[in-house]
Amino acid sequence: MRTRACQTIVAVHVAVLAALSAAHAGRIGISAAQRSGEGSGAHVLVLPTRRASEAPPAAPPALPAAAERVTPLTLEMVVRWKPVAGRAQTRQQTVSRTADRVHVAARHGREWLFERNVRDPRRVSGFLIDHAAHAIVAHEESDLRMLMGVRGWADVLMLGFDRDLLGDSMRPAQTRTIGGLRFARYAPDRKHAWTGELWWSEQSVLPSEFTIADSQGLTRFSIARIRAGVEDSLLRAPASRFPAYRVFTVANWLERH
Amino acid sequence: MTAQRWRGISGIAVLLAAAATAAGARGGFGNHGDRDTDDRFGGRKARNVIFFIGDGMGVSTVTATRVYSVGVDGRLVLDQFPHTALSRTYSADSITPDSAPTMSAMMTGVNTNQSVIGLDASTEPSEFNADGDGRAPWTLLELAKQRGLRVGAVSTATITHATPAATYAHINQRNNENDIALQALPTDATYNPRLGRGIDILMGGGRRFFVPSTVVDEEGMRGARTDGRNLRAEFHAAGYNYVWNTTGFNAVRSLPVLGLFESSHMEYEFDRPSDLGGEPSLKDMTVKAIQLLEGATRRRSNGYFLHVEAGRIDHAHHAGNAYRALTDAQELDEAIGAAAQMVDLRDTLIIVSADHSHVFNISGYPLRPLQELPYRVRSFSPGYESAGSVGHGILGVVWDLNQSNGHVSETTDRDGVPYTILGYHNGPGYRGAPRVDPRGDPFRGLGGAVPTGPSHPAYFQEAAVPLGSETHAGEDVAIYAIGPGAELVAGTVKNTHIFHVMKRALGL
Repeated sequence: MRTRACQTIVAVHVAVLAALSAAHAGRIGISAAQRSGEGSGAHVLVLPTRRASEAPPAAPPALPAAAERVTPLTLEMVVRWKPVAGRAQTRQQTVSRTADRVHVAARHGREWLFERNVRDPRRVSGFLIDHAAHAIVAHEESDLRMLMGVRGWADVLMLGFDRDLLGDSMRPAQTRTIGGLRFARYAPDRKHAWTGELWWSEQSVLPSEFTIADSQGLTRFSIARIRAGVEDSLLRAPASRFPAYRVFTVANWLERH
Repeated sequence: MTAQRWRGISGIAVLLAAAATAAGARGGFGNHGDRDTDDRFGGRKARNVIFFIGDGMGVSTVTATRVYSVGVDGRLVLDQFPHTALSRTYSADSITPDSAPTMSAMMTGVNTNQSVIGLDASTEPSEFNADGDGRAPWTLLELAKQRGLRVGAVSTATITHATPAATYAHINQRNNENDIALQALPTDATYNPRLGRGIDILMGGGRRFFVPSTVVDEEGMRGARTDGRNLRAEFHAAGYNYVWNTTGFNAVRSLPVLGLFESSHMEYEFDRPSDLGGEPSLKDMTVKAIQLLEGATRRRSNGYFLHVEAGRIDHAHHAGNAYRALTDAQELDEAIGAAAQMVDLRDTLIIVSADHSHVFNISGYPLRPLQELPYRVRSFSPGYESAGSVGHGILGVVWDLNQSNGHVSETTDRDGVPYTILGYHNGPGYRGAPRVDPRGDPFRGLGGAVPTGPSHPAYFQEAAVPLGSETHAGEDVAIYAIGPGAELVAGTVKNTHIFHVMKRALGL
C-alpha cells in the first residue's frame, strides 16, 4: 500500500477549495457557488481522501545477454494438460522464435504473433489471429499482462518460464541435447513455482521441459524437436498476411465475444 | 452515414439539417414518456457543460467504488451532486445495449441500434440490408460548435471508440475506427462539416488508428491504418498540437490539441505508471482540457462543451477483473472532483452518467471490517482483523456475525467454501472446477498470473456462466448533476433526456 492510504474522509475546507479554484485561471470555484447558494444550491462538495491503490506493476523483467544472440528456431512442442478431474489431454504446437518475434500456431485455428518492442526491448505486444472469426486481435503490453500474465519480452522468449526462478545456487544435474542445443536438468525445488523436471539452456535462454500447476491441474511443456530457421511469412504483420481479416483491440473484441 | 454522404453536406445543407434536427428533437425518436418538452429552460442558463461518462459504470460499480475508495460511510464526489435520476439504457434493437447507441442517445436525443453511432434507428449495424443509412441527428457537440462554443472530447479509451466517437462522428459500425478518425480530420474529404474548423480538444488513446500499419509509432507499436496515411501529420498540418506523452502533454498551451497517448486504449489507472512513454491520468487530462477551454473561452468564445469518459471501467469488467474496474472508477471520481473544483458551478453544468451497466454483483451479507463495527465482537476467525486493509474489505471474502455467540467467521457456500463479495454473473471468471477458498485460489483468469488472493490486482472474480467476456447488463443506470439546469435531472428517464438537459442548459 502506498502512503496515502486513509480510512477517513477529510473535509477540504471551503477556503482551501477557493484557493485552489482561484489558482486555476482565477475563476470562481465550488466554494463561491456554495457561499452564494446559486446554481448548486446549498450543497457542500467535499473532496474525499482516497484509499491507496496497490503498488503498480513492476517494470518488465530484464533480459540476459544471451537473449540478444538467440538464433531463429522452430520448436515442435508437446503440451500435456492433466486436469484435477478427468482425462489428460495432449496437444502439439509449433513455435517459431527469433530475437524479436515469437509465433505460436495455437489450437482451434488460432495463431499468436508476439513482437518485441523496438523502443524498449524489455516490452512486448501481440496479435491473436482467429481464423474462424476472420479476426486479428491486437494485444498491448498491459493486455498481455492482465489477461495472460505476460510481464514482458522475457516471458515470451522463454515460453513462459521465469528464468529468475532458477536461482544462483542450483546446479544442473545432467544434460541432454535436442536439435543441437544442450539443455541442463534442474531438480524440482519446493521453493519455486515449477514442479517436475526442468530442462534449461542458458545459451539459448530456452526451456525444453517444465511443468506448472494451478487449480485446474498440471500442465507440462516439452519440446520434441528443434530445427534451425523459421518460416519468415509467419512473422509478418498479421494484417498483411490476412488483409481481409478485421482488426480489433482487445476491448472491442471482448465487447462482443 | 457513409463517407460519400458526408461529402455532400455543406453550407446551407448543414443549416437545414440543424433546423430539422432541432424540430425532430421535440417530437421525434426518443422522447416518448420523457419530459423533453419541458420548457422551463427557454434560454441559456449554463455557459459550459461538462459531461462525464463512466463506461459500464452501473450502480453496483458506483457502490463498490465508494466502498473501495472512501468506505461504506463515505461519499464520492458524484454522490454529493444534488440532482439524480435513473436512466433507461435500452437501445432501439436490444434490451441490453452497447456503448454506441447509448452514447448516441445521450448526445443526440435519438435512440438507435447496437453498434451504430450518430445515425437514427432506421440504420442497421454495418448496413447489412444495403438500404442506406438513416438520418444523422446533430450531436450536442456539433450544436455547441455551431453556436461558437469550444468543444472537446477526452477518454481513456481510444478517442475513436464508440463513446467519444458519438460526440463527433456518424457511422453504422463502431468498429470502423480508421474511418471515424477521418471524420474528425478537418482536411479530409469525409470530414464531418458540422464540426466547423474542428474539435478543439481530442485526447485519449487510439494512436494506431492515426498511424499506417507499416509504421511503428512513438512507443514501438505498429499502426492500424491500411490506407498508408499518417493522420498525426495531417492533424498537425491542419493546425493541431499533436502530443503523445506526458512531456508533450505538459507543454501544451494552446488549442486545438490532439493527444494520443497510447496505441490502443490508454492504460488502466493501475497500470499507468508502467507506461513506456508516460501518459496522463484521466484527472490530468480533465484539468488540462478545462484549463485550455477556460482560457480560450475567456478570450474569444462563449463557453464550452467538454465530454470526459472513463472508458476502461467497462474493459476491466469485460475481463472479469473488478480491481481495475474500481480503480478506474475511482479515477473518474477524482476527475469529477477536479472539474468541480476548477469551474464556476453557477455557470457550468456537470452531468455524470453511464452508458450501461455490467453483470457485476455485490453479494452475500458482508459484515463491515472489524475497525468499522459499531459494537465489539466476542471473537473472530483469523483474517477478519485485516479484512478492511484493502478497499475497506470490498474485494475480499464475505464475513458474517453469528448473532448468538458474537463470533465472526467467513460465510460459506453450501459446500463450506468461502466466497467473495464481488462477482460476475458471467465471464472469464468461470472456474470450471470445484470451488476453492478465494484466498488460496490460483485461478489464472484468461491465462494470466496467479493472484495472491481476491484483493490482488490479478484476481478474476468468479462467474456463474462461462463466457470469454463478461457482458453488459440491462438495468437502469444513474445520472448525477450539479449546476444550472441540473434540476431537470430527476425521476426515471430515457437516456436521451440527458441530451435535452444539456441542450437546454446551453440554450442550443
